[in-house]
Amino acid sequence: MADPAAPLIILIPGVHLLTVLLSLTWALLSTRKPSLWPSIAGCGVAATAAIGLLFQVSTSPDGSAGPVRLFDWASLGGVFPLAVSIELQAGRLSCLLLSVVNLVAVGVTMQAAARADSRSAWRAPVASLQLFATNMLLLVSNFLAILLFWQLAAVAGFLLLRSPPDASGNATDTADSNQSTAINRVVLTWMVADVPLAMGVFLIWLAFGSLDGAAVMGDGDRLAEVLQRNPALITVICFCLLAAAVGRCAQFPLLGWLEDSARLSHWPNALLQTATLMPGAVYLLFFAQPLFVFSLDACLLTSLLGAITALLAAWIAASQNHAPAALSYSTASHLGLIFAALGSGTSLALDAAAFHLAAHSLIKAALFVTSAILLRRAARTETSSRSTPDTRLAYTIFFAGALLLCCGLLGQNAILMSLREPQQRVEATVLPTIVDWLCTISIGVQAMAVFRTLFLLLSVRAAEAAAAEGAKDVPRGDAASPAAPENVAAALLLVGGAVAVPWAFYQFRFGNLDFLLPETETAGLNLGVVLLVVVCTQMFYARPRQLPIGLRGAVEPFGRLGRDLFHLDEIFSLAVAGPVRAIAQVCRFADQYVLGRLVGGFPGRIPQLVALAAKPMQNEAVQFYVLSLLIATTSLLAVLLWFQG
Amino acid sequence: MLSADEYWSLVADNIVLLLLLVPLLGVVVVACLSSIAQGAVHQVAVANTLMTFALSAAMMANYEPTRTDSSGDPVLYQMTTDVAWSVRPVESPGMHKTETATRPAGGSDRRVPDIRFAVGVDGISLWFVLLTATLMLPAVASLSGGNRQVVWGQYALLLLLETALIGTFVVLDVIGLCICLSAVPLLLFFLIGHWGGYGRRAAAYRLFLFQQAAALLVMLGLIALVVSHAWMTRVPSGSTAELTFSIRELVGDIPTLAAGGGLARQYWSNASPLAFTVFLIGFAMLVPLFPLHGWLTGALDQTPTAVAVLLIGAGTKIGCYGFARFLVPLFPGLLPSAVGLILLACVGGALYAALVALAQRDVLRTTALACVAHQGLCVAALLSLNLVGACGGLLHAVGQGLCFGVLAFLVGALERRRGSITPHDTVPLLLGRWRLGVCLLFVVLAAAGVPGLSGFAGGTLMFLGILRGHPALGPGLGLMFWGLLAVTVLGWVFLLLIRRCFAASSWEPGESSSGSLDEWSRSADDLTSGEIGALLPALLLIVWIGICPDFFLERMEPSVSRTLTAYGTTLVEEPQEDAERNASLRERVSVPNSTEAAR
Repeated sequence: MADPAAPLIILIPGVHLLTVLLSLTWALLSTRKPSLWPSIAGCGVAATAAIGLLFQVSTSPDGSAGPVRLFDWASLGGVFPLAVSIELQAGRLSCLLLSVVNLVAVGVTMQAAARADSRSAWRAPVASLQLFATNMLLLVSNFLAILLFWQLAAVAGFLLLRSPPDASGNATDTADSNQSTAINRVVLTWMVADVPLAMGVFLIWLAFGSLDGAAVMGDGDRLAEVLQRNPALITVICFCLLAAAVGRCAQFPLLGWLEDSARLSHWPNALLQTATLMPGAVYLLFFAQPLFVFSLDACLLTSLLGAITALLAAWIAASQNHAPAALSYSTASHLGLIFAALGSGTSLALDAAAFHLAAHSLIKAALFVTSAILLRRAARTETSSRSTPDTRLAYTIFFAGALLLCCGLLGQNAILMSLREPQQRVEATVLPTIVDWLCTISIGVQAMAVFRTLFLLLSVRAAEAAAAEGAKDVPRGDAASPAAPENVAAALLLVGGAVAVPWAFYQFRFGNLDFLLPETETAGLNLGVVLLVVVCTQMFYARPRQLPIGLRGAVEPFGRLGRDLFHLDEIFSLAVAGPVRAIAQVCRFADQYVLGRLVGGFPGRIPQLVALAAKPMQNEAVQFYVLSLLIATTSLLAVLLWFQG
Repeated sequence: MLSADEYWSLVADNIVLLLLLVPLLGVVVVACLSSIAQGAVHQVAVANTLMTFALSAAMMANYEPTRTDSSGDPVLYQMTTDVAWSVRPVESPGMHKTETATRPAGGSDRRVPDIRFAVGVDGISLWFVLLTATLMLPAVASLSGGNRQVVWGQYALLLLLETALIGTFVVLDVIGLCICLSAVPLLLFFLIGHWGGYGRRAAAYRLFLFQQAAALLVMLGLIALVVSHAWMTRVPSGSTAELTFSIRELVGDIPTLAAGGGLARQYWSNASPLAFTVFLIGFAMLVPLFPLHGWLTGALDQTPTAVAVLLIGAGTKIGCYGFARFLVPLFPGLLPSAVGLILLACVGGALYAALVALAQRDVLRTTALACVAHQGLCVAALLSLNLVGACGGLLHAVGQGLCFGVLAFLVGALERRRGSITPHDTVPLLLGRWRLGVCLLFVVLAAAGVPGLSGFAGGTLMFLGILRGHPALGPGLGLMFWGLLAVTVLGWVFLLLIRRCFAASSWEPGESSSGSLDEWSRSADDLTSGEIGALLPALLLIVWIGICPDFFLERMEPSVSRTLTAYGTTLVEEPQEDAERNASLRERVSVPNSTEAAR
């Protein structure tokens, strides 16, 4: 019997691919300017289909749909057989993430449509391509297919961040050079993180002889056998997968690219962080959990990196004066919490991580959308004349989102609870305690960062807003496009994060629901702490002059450290990029002046040597000629005699 | 009168022969037209190239990987044409059916060399022929445009070069291979030396020396094979000795004879190191592998675009083909012991070339060095001696050949429009030329290994093969790591290349050799429809390999499996005919064994 979910499974990524083709065809045939509306419609259809699939999967007895085999990508026999097929399969978590990803995409593309400039329009097909890759990433189970769509998502991200040239062909803009440098930094970080993923996938094939994720992860006996045969190999594989996820999720130490990404463009950055790259990367860790169970070192490292990032990224976010960058670092910080939970590996932690990932994505998308509305308005009007219904609604949504995100209801509490659970495996170390402390502190700093962003948006000057929005020479007084659709999208995202995700967890029995209902005292305490943080933030950032000079002086170095991103860029340049460039220069010198002359010089002299030998013949040295002739004739005769036996 | 089916069948059976004849016919027509209608030379060349491409596509469609003969054995070489050149060859028990059918009845004891004109394709050579025919389209397209004077000699030599390149991949006879191998450097020498850039003479001279030396070494190896085969099949009683020049026989018989024991084994154990060394150095120079790559980087920036496309796309693949055709199947005893060092050189060389490319500013030199790096990795995969690696290496060689060929064409197109691209040219090179920009971005991404395009498919399989390695050597973890590092550095190189071509910031008026930025942006001489049409087959192939590599692997697998049979990494059973033939050979060479023992 045909799988009833099969059409939905194919439709979800398929509609994005169709959108890419339609957009490009339309652009090439008619207007030479693609429209964003096919992308919005595509995301809407995909989101609806994903929600439908979620319902279908939740009611199915085995909690999954598929597999739907599309085609064989590669198959080879031999002693080491290789079979890679593009096969789609959906579990409950992947269905939930598919719904979230596509809902977020609807909101973000609607915000992109509001900009309505040529650059955004050309980015539409690329955004659809990235959504296609991400949806496929969430649906495929073959590791090589995961690598394929993982990298495709990164390539689409590269094209998305790289804005197409202006129609005017304005070539003297120095921003283009900075843009290229920033994009190169972002993509190089992703590439550096892709290498470990490729290594991890290849090692999985080496260890298990198969790349089929379902077969590898679902077979406990096989896992145990490989573990027994080569325990270090499992750890290496886990480290590789972790390194890949660290690069994509901007975890410590690879979080420098967030600044570049945030300053390059607004809505593509929002899409990367809340819908495509980052959720996809976290999903990889969920997918590989059965492997992580067998590697304590990898789990501890995951937790530690997550906790460090949670604090550092929140710190950086709290000292950023660029609203999109602050929101980006806040995202990295929240993902750090999720990493910490994934590292602890308990069922409560995994449930909490999944819940926080879904809820955070939706609410952070709402914050990105509303911040874009506010920045756009601010770029066109002075501070005193910004109080319109649109902006008031946007502020309200932003405030509500910030409050929900920070007061611990949407998963942070659950993550902290899971971290405090006694874990038999790591009783002997102090690491869980350190992780717990780092995460607890980071939650307060996160709240400070988000509310500081709100105050920034309230007081931002027009020129700063124009720069933050990425717009050039915005004419003052021009009416911005109506923000109503964007506000609606943001409100829907907020409701999705605050209501729909908890409801989905409750309805579909995703796991232990107790964590969603914190005790009244805890909830009250959380709220109190958040309100305190809001007041402190307001004092520190909105009215810094009212602080005592001594306190300001004591706090400033911390702020400067955060603003300088802990000098990560300089450290990487000094430790990695600089040496590689230096080695490249040495190699070039060696190639050009040593090897080139050495290898090219000797063969180059051979004809001269031959000519020297032939010279006597030209000088009528008959004996030389005769001698050569005799040698040749003798050799020929010898060969003939040999053949005659 | 032949019916349509019979006519098609006749054409289909001789497609490979036609693939050699059609460009030669083009040479004749172009030469004839040179004095009558010089304006038609380009059109004739284009039509000829299109016909060759159509034939190569038909050849691909006509190739059946699962075809079997009457005894149920797989037929690997298909569309063969086999004609005897020498008179009264010796018939031996080890002859192929196709060959014995064309020979005169009745054997003889005279040792007349068995020289034949034999051409055909298998799952390995098929793709290199397709690659050459596909790249010939942009190569010819690059000869037209602007105010260029049509030079018939250039067209004629280019068509001859195409014949020689295709011939190298399809001939199944040692003499034919020697002719083609010698012709390629000679034609390149004339093409570069006459129509190249400022330093063309030195570049042509260097390239000729390297390639000719490589061809001579390979020929020496081939002669060693012929003589060894004759020695190894010789029976001490003095009745017969086979002096065969058939590549199929040489490659099929020698490992069997060497495995049989006795004098043959002893002889081969003495002779094989020499043959192995000359083949290794010869093919390494042709690939080119580090440290013998100087000729490519030095020659490419002086080469006319048409030649650069063929040289970097197809010319450098002769070495890969040689590794797969000769080095891997012929030396199963020697290769595993030496392969560790070769792999180290390949992967180390790839990393070195990638680093040198990173420090380069010249676009063509960067392209050449990136090609050297990828070629090194392809050879490493091929020599990993397992099916996945070998197929991946070959697929990657074909895919990268397409990418680098197209890239050379696009850089040439840009140079033609710009005048020259100097190492310090900081102009936004693609300003206002969106077709050129899109094509360049596409090809660079494909070469960098973007999923869905050829670089990813070949590269992934290649690295899987390198990691798996040979059972005797164990997994190549370190090699895979360094190889991936090389690919990452190449990714950085390609990012810088994109930045150089697209970035608009460094423009300083008056620096460029061809006028101001305004003039450059206003001229907007983008790729023409003809140029796009010439590129289209190559671009489609790049996508096809990336999305559905299985189509290519399916056709490649039987031939590659056969090549690797001796290494025990395939599950291929020996075909019945070959088993009988090999048994017969073993029986023959076992006679001296007993005789020797009795003595």
